[in-house]
Amino acid sequence: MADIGYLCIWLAIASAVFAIAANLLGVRRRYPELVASGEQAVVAAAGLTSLAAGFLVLLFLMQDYQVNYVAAHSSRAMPLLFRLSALWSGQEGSLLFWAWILSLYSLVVVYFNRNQHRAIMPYTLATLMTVLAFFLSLVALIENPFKMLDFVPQDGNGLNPLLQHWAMAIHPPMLYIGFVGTTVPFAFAMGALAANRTGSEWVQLARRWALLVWTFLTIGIMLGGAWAYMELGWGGYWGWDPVENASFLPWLAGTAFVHSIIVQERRGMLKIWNFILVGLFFGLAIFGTFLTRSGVVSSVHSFAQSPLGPYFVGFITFIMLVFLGLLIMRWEELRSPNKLESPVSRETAFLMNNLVLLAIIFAVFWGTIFPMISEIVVGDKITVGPPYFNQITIPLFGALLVLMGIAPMTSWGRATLSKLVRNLALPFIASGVITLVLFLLGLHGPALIAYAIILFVLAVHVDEFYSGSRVYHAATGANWPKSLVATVRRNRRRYGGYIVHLGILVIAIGVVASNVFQLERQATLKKGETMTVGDFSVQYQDMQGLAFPDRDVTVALVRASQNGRDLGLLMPSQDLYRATNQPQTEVAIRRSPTEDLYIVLGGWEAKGDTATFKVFVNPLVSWVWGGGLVVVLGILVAAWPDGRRRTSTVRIPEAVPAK
Amino acid sequence: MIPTRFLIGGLVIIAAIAFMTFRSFQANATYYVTSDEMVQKVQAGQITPGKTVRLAGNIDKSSVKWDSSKLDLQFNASNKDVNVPVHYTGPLPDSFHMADSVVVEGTYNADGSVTANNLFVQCPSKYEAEIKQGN
Repeated sequence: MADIGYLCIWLAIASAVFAIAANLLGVRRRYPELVASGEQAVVAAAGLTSLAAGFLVLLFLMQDYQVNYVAAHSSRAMPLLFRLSALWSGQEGSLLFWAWILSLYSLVVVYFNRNQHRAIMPYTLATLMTVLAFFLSLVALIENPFKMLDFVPQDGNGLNPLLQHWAMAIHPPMLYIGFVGTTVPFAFAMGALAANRTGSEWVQLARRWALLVWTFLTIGIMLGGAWAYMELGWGGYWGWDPVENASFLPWLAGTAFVHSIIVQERRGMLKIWNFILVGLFFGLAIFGTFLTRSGVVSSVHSFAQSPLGPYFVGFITFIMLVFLGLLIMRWEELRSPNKLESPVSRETAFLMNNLVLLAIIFAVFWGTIFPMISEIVVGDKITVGPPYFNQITIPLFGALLVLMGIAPMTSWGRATLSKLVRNLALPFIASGVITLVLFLLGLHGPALIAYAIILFVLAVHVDEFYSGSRVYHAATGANWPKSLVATVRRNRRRYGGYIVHLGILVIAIGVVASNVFQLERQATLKKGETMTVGDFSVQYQDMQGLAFPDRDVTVALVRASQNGRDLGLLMPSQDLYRATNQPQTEVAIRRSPTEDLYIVLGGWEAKGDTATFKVFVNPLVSWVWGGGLVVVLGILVAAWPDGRRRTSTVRIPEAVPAK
Repeated sequence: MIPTRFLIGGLVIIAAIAFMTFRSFQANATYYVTSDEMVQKVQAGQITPGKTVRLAGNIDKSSVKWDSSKLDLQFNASNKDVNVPVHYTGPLPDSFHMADSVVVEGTYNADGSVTANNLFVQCPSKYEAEIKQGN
């Protein structure tokens, strides 16, 4: 069966290569039949890639340990979920998984556009298939997941216990769906450039895809943070590790892109800029894959060293050169007739947003790759740690939030400063008063500044929702909740976007609190002894040993209370996996909306007569996850397909009155 | 296209951000060295006491002292027969005892040791293990 799987990969490559040739030849020489056949080849490539991935999954389910990859990433004791997620837990399988997702994306693109966008589509498909052929070739030639061993092992090695966690089972696919998905808007951009249809057509096509991809990236990054928080036991969720940065960079580029295409839609400006951003979006996603797959940058999460690096560099260079070449060819036609008219207009605010996002991308990118560059250039490996990333990005994120507050109050085109000041006055005063209260309550320093900004942005958004609803309320007499819902429904793009903003604000509130006000303490306790951290008391009661099929677990029973109120029993533990003899610390977390109590069992003496704990109190961490959910909700509101009418053809007047 | 005053405004902002990046980069640049390289850089005066370093080395298994009641770890990070004593306080990373090499982030002390704030275990077998026959 492994042989058939391997054969499928080669057949898929052949289909992809045929699809590239047929689409390009067909469109250049005007043979519609050839284009149609190229389209079918895309379907065939998707089918064959799915078959190959399906065979690998089947081999995991059948526990065929003669297949090297199966033996290396699964074992008999593993539950079904992890046997399935083992597909993407190693180098070879995750590359095949990457290709598989891309082939499915291509299928969806063919399905939705088979009767439309005839000029752009052949080039779009050719781009998609080029990327697919590249990844499949890596799988076929360098990282073959179907490689057989010349003996049959009794059992496999199993999955690294660190990765045996529900968040880790779904984090990679989410991130991959995001990473891989960036290829689609990029392919539409390539299609638009190659077909010389550089107007709003591709932007319409790319927008919804970009939002979808951005959402998956958001979910993937969130899950990665959640996993780190629950499994790694250092009390945090983000450490500016190269692999984390690799997922963050395309997210930032995508954020810039989904904002700046609005300027093109509304004002016909920034056309060239949008092409550059979509190129950056895709390029950084490929770069991220390269970082995680090649082992060029040392990271806690790094995969094994591999020979993939040069191929990735070659591929990124090739595809970006083609893209830039096409862009330069179309440069003159892309110049915009419209000009920025006012420094306080909406388009200026969007431009500033792009500028700041780009600065963050640049700073994070630079900090991530510098060790590599310095080693090549001067021979010394020089790194920068989290302090660098924090120092540079925190003020920039602050600026971004300020813009998020100002932008909704600006108007397009000829805006005036006095009107902007009038619009901002009320939110500014309202948030200023609350900030003063916070100050009097004892909040000060950087946290106060951060919360002042967040409150200001929040007030602006509340004002936006309020003014919209007021118009509806006045016009129809409907009650307030009804008016609010109706307002959002009449302009889902706008208010969906604002809901995303609110989600970001909730995340920001959580991030600031959990970083500034985190408490940590470490103590060795005898049975019955208690330690206190902040409002919490933690009493060590007992230690017990448990035997599971695949691991031995040592559990500390800890009674926690807050201000004398009993919170029940918490059970931090250390697991020892028998197959690999690897220990795995399991953190105990007592979550609440206001703070998490986070207990790590560090060690024990004399069979548990004394045990050492590291205890963190992490304020408002739940807000980070909650904010992520709000972001997803906002996207759903903004991008959910409209059943009755096409939103792109019906322009609904803005529901906000001239102030 | 873009009027001049916007261009100038934009350039000023970009220059400011670039300057900030440069300054905080300078302030936080850290040598990533192996034990022997660190000793060389100390002799050359490039690493001085109090400086932050990122040190990679093999764990000298015979030197590991772990006091679980204080969560206190001491060991030598070695490379090419050069040993650097490392001192770390905190929960032991899960795969420390199985790991061959380690990366620590910390402060270089005048006595030639490193006080680690962070300890990253690099285990070559972490994700890709050899498959044993039989089992």
